[in-house]
Amino acid sequence: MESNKKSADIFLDISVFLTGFNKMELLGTGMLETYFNVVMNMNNVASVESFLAESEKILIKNQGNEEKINNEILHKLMPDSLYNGLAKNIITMWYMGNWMNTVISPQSYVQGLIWGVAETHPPGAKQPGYASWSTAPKTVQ
Amino acid sequence: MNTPFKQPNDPQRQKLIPEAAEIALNAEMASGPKNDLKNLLGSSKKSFDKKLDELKSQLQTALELEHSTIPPYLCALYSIKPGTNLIASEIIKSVVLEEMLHMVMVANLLNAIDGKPMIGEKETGTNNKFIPDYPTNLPGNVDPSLEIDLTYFSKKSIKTFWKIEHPEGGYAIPSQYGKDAKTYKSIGEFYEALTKNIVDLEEIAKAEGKTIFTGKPENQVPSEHYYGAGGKIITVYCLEDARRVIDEIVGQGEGTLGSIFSEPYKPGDKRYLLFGSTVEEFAHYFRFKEVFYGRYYAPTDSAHRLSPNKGLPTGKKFEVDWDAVCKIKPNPKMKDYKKGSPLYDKTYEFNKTYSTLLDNINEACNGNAAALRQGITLMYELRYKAVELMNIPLEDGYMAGPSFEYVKA
Amino acid sequence: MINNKTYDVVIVGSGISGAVMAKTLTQAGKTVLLLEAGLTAGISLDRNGDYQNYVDYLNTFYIASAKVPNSPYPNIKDAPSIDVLDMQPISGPNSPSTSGYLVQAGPLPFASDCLRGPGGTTLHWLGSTPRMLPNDFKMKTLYGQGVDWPISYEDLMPYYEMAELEIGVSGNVNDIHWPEASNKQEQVELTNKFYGKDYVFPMEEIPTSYIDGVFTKLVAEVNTKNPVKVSGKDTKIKFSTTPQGRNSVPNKQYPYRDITWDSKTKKLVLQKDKYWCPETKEVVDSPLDEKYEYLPVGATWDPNTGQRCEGNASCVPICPVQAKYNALKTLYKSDRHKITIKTQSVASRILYDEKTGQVTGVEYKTYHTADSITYDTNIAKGKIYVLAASAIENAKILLASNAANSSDQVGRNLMDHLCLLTWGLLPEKGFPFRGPGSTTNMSSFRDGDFRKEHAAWICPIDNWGWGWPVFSPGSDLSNALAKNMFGKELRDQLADTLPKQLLLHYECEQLPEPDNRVTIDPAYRDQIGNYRPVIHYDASDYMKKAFETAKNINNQLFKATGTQDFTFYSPTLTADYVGYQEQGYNFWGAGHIVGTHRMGASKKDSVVNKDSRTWDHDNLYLVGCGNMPTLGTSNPTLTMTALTFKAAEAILKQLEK
Repeated sequence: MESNKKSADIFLDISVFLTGFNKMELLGTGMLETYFNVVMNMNNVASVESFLAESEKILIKNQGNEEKINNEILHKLMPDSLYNGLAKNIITMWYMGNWMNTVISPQSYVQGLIWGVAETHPPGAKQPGYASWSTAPKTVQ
Repeated sequence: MNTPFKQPNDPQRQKLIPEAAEIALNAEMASGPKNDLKNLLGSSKKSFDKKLDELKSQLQTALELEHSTIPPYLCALYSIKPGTNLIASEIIKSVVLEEMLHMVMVANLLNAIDGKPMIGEKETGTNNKFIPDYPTNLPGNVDPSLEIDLTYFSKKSIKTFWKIEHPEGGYAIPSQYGKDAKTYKSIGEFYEALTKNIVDLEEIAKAEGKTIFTGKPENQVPSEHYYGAGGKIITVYCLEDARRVIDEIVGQGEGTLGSIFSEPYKPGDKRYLLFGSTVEEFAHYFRFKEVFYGRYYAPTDSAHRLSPNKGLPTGKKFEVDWDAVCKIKPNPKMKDYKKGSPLYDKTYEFNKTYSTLLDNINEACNGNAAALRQGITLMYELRYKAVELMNIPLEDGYMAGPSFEYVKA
Repeated sequence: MINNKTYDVVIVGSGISGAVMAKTLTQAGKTVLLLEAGLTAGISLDRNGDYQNYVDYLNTFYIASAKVPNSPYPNIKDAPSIDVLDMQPISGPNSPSTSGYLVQAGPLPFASDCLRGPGGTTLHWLGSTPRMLPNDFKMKTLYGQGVDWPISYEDLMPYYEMAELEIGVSGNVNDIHWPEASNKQEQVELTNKFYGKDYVFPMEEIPTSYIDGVFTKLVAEVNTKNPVKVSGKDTKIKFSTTPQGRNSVPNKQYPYRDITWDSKTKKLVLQKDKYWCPETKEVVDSPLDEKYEYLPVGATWDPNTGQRCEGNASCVPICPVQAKYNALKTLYKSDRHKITIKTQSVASRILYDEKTGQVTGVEYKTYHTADSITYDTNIAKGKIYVLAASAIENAKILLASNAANSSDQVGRNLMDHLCLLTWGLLPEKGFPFRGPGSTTNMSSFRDGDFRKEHAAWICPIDNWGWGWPVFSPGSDLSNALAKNMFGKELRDQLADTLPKQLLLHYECEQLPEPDNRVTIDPAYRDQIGNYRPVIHYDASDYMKKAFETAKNINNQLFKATGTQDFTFYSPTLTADYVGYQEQGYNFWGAGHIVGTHRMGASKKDSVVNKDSRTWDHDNLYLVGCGNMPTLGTSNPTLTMTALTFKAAEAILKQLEK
């Protein structure tokens, strides 16, 4: 249980760097638990564990130095040959709500990050209201 | 079943038990106010104006009263996990949409007598706050025994909601009731007093060939700009319109059904058969009961407490999953978080949307009704931001939540 | 045989044609049996059931990995629907593709789908409702192509108005550009002539998309500085706003409140101050003191939901709030005491008297549960029969019954709009993926002398990025990931490009051709023994020349507006890939399945007369897009609905003879 909590924390921390979204934004989707479980259950456990261990190493070693962290992610996590492409699959999961080509759940689709990046909302959900489309997207900042 | 409840916004529908309403009004009339009226008739313009100002401030209170239930209802609604509790969500949503409608209709009423609705704007002044500081009592000294939290969907919160909408003001009738004239035991009673003041003042004005409905017609929010939410908006230009607004508000809330709880039960009395698929909608009080018990009222159910169904729903069951909820920490505040911390910022962002929304409604109710178009997009945004907060865990096992505080935009 | 009651009218199908028919006939006091092939859950006369069912559709849509038009809806083996995902290239003349419901004999696969289920294809339609142009009805006379209709635009005008009320059209008559108008005055004259001087739609125009503004402004500059050249001539590109069946602000000037049957004059009448009252079941006068205002029709489960479009940007395949019209809204207005609805009941054959030609029954199979192989066979009986089961199903049923086919036209002249898609990145952000699918169209090439040479087209500005051709935004993510992008760089890259995506599609009018057709073959049946449609389909040079011209115009437009072109065509992009003048083109289906039992002036070369009655059977009517002799450049639903009102009027007249 404890180790699971720790793994989930690392998963969240590395997801921040993989997706380009901060912790609050990721937590705000309400999908962390679901996605962590998908990662744990849909993959070879040993492979996930070493991915998370490597992630933790990168994050601790380069704490506070974003450039270094990114550089190590690029070489130690991103290549398709490593961890069966897990890093990219995790990014796709957060952005699209899919694991490989399957939509994980109705909510995972709705919470896909890509729609916000495109300054819109998932089609069929989080509708913005009448006439919103006739002006440039406005968010109250 | 041929029922006067068939159409929403049919004022006739509210007159389901006309004699009950009459009895209530006559009782008030007999107990003195009629004399006030006589005193006022022929009294100075000054005291008439004072009375009219009082009415305006009473309507401002009504505005605050209608608004005060919206954040708690929204909190409960938003806390329900997506894809669960479909029926319960629909029921709460329908109630909250009607509360929003009521608020704008009260603004129409206030505008009709040349008052000035103060919504977000009021927060910027030094005067009373528009948004209650939750946990709170209902504004206007309505049922002071009732304390309302901003909290998640639970049996407890739904029970509070039905007390808010209860015809007799919850179960505990304040003992001091009757001594302090400004305490009301229910929302319905508050509005009854309000109606009487409007009727009285208009009668006096009429006697002098005048009217209290002197507001600018262009300040009314018409249906063109307010739609789809809880029925069709009523614009107010005369006493008849004013009555329709109040009938609508009281009818949707609790109904003029106070007699249900005091009259003896008569088997076969059709007046208490208020339910069934042909009924477009029925009072909030009963809708919250449906949620609480997880079943619909059947067309054969009576609303009377002493009926065989004890006034409770016995119709088709629906699933209510009280655990499929984001358990937010009740009554969150911005000051709970360190300024500049991510949670502070997120809460602040939510409040900015909320405040902009209030400002927007204020603008719409003060001559620019078209502003509501943006208001509606803000209402959607409010939900998405609240839900984001509710997904963020706090240290103590609770989730964060929307605090509904006014921040300057 | 459980039920041997004889109804006034038996209707097959609860899509928009069947629903309009059922509503009109029952409100006029006639008894109707409606057979619907789809699941019982899809028609619920109880609001909560209706809502639950719709939420199921929505969740199915959310989890669909390819969000194609039929993705939210059940595809039942007992009454299968076409699925565009089943489309495959056809390898040779005698090896049809059979992977989906359609047996695609080729040479090209037919690219459009429709929905067999309660409410029919209006559940997933886009909702665009332009009328056909007057010249569209006279293609043979004016341009020597296709055939003329047996009726004119003017004949159809009153029924167009009925259709616009029934669907609830939002739009601005004055923003519809006539291709032949060369100046403002001509424009106004044509509008007055063909819409009537003071005509307005029930609701005001749906606000046009931000991207429409961006693109049309760029094109306006091109028009003045550097006009597009078509056949060597400078040509100004003009746009119209698109009338659409989705709710917006009611138009205060709109006068009509109902469509009622007048049994004295034997006509359907658009009423200003009368309406059919659901309580008393009769036409009553509006209250004298009431100021009428059109009320948008909300969701079937809650009239307060969907009174305005909420910008869900998912019209196809599903509007979550039903602000977009669907046929269930009409069906639910039927007189419930006069209508009997049988669901899970698939019509298989028409039975008729060989001597008199009178239809004597519709044989249908009622399956027990979804996908079950067990079913009961029954015969439905009525005085009059109406097939409203879609162009493909209507033709299939007639062929299976050897009915209505003395002209040998049943199943022939299958048409669609062939859509040539073009896509690029705008020089500035247009913010697509928002709002209704399309709110503005390029209307300059909807008509003109060029129709002698090549197809006309309408070209909507699409609002949903490159989703249609290349599955954006998912593909943009995959492409970026393939370059090992991640984190902020990935986010920034997507944020910079996705909002600039522009998609146009040139919807080219296919002509009626006898060899583009639906047939049946005993070798191909579904699991309860009904025929599967066998489709023979190709694109002629008339179409390909339109592709060439449209693409040429598009290239000039993209270049002059600074739109970076990302369009590519290849045999792997879609199965419909054609070559013309050494260029390859892909085309996509528009979902406009038209023409399989066309109407005409003579029984020699058409299946139905101008009232939609079959020439061969006095008491058999066919409704739906199958009736259309030519397609024009309009989305066909509005025209089909107008024709259905005309047919309903003829049926009532026949019943009350």
